[in-house]
Amino acid sequence: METKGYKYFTWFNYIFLILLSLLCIFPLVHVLALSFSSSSAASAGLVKLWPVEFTLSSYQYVAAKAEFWQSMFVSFQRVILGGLINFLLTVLLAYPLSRETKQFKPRTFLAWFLFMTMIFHGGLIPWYIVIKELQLLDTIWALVLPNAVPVFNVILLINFFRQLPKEMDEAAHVDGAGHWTILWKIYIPLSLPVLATITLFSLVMHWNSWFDGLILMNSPENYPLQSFLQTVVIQRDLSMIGSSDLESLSEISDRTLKSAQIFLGCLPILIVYPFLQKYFVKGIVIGGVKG
Amino acid sequence: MSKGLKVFFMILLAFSLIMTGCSDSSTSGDANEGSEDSGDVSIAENGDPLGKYDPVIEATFVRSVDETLKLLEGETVKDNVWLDYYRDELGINVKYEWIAPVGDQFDQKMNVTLASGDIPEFINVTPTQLKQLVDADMVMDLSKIYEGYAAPLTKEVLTADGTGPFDAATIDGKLFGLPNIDSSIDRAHFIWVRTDWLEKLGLPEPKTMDDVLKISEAFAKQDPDSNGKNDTTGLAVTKDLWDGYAGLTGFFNGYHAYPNIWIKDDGGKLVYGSIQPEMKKALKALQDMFKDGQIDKEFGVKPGGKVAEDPASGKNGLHFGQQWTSLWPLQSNRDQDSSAQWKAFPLVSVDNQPARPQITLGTTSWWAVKKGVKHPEAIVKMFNGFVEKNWGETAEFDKYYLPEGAEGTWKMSPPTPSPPMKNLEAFLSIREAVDNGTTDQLTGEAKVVYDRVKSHEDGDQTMWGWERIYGADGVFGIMKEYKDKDLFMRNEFNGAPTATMTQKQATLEQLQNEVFTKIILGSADISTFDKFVKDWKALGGEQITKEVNGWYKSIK
Repeated sequence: METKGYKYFTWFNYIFLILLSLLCIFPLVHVLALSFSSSSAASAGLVKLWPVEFTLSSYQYVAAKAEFWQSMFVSFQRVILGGLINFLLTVLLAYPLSRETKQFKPRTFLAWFLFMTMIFHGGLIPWYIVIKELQLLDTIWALVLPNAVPVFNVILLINFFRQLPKEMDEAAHVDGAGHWTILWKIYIPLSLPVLATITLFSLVMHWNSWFDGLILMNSPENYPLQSFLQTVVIQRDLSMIGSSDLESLSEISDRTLKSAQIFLGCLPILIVYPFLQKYFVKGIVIGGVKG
Repeated sequence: MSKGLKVFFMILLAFSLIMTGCSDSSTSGDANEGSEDSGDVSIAENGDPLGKYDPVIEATFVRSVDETLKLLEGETVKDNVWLDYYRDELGINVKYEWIAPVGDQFDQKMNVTLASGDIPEFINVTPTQLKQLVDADMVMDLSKIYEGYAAPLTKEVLTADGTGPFDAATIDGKLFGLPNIDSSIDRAHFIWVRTDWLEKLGLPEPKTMDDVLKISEAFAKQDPDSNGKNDTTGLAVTKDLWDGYAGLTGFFNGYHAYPNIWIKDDGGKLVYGSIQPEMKKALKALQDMFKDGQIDKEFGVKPGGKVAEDPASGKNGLHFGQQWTSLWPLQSNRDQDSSAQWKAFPLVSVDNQPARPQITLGTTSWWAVKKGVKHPEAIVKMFNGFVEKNWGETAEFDKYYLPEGAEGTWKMSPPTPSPPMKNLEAFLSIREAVDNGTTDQLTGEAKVVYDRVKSHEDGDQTMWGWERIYGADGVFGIMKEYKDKDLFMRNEFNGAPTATMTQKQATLEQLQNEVFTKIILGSADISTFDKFVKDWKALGGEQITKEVNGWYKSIK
């Protein structure tokens, strides 16, 4: 039933979306091109979308830079540890909360309790003091534990669980299955799309967050990759350069090095994304709409 | 900084104010103990400036590190020649509570630390932060400790830049911070011109403001790079207006206008430079230049790093800037095009009065000591040690300041007070040595710098930037002229930020920069300046002026 208008609309839609995606890709391509260009070409602003005076020297520099790999290691630690904890707690919370109030009395209270934390936040300084008093500062746990329960993901998962047919777990119940069996044998296998989605959310969250690393870590060796990268890309305040900093001036124009590090920094997510993406749309739509 | 970050900072600051208030009450017990302790201190008001503690005492600090640091093999930020010196010679074991990269990161971490009330024993702060700490009663009066423990050489270095560095840390007559002194004169501006373009176009060197305007016009319109395209700009300007590279400070000074600083008017009162009528003429001139296409159309959104691409790629040949711009960004221009030549010229004036370069206090941070610390004089001893080992009689410059093959070793000492005239002195001793043929007798910093200049003269193009600063017609030659003729226009206000300043200064500065940018862009008429003056006064400027003059009377 393709009317003319529909056809035009589709074409327009495609063109619009293609332009939109190009808009997202260009910066990345530009960074990639910069990272393969010579430093003098980069500082003269000659590099657009293709490397000028191709060289691998930035990557050689990064390869030899211990801090970069150290913080990469911290980031991997954080993502794996944090991802696992997120996953476990999300599933274990979502299951009881997806029951009826009859089955699980404190359900309403707990749900509201979780919801409140999404709206209200203690503020930066109290948050810092709590973590400090818990002796977590400067440990990997400071990056993992404060984010242990991603409430948004829990809500997604609750909604997904609730739309699964109740008859199934009634049947399982009659056959003698307990809650653990129902959760692991029925709910989890049925929820793969949404689980992939929330895993992706939590991985990306852990990989991308930089601010907590900055505030909670006491020495740069313990920074996760994004905190480290932030220190690399931030522009120096040029009105404040003192006479004693003359030596450091020559380093300002190292845009190629910055680009190489930025690109390597987003590589892992670029690799993970396509594999989880097929579940992505399905998971979030089903989880979200049928509330 | 993005808008989100700014909002975040405001919230952070608001919180930090509340929290310092709260933590005050919770730590008041400690604070009382502290004042008793500082009573003990008065027993030892006089002491050996470099005397060793036995047993070794522990002192906590926080510190910043920067990317460019290159230490010798085996040294780290926590274990290096400076910390060894302090521990082995002075008996002070330096411990860092945290370390963060210099800049935004350090500031954020510092704000959280201040707000949570858990500060290290010795802390390096800005005047605003110092004021907060004093208000929260967290730091102690250092007047007596300084008098009693500072070595003569340390006093000489710390007072070499006038009383400003001390005024800024004196609150209610008490000295709460020791200036981590740095050069003020090194912040003066110069005119940097690409001289190979001047020759190509047959233009004279700039002697008056008129010459500068002509050079700007010619560089924009007469195709100085001879590529047949109209792709060059006249005057480079950054969006922040006051940067050390491509800022406008030097341009305004040429019109006898002194933005952002407090100057004395004819009646002997302090007035704010940005609202004086001289500003208007300079702004008008900039507006005309912009209209004429001499200033980059997009300057309003370009930070220094972006503007720097123009000279680097040979599209700009004129800017106002500090003594270091030959190292960055001009060195990249030289790297690309070895025929490019730049030279610094003294600021020029619109009339027959000489242009006076304005300078602000070069010292930007002060050392404060937490109340209750057992040995507050340790910081003074470290000052003594730092000055002595770098510039004193027992100095070992090659070991402590700039060892061969390392960069920034001197920064490994927590306090880094440097003689304010040291760069100028290095230049003078180099020139003298060259004239007398005694360059082999140079020592310390002068020697290191001379070697760089020499290697450029021997053909190393990567050292070109250094030769432009310390060479025969280098910038510091002009600096000497500035100094000999006593041309510097100093910021007369060096006090701690006043009450209204803490509240309103940031808003007023933003208003000022917005209005100036709009005027230059031509989107606001030059008469907007008069409205700005009125607004400035009404929005708190009037009150600030009163407070500043109150302060000025109090120090006279």
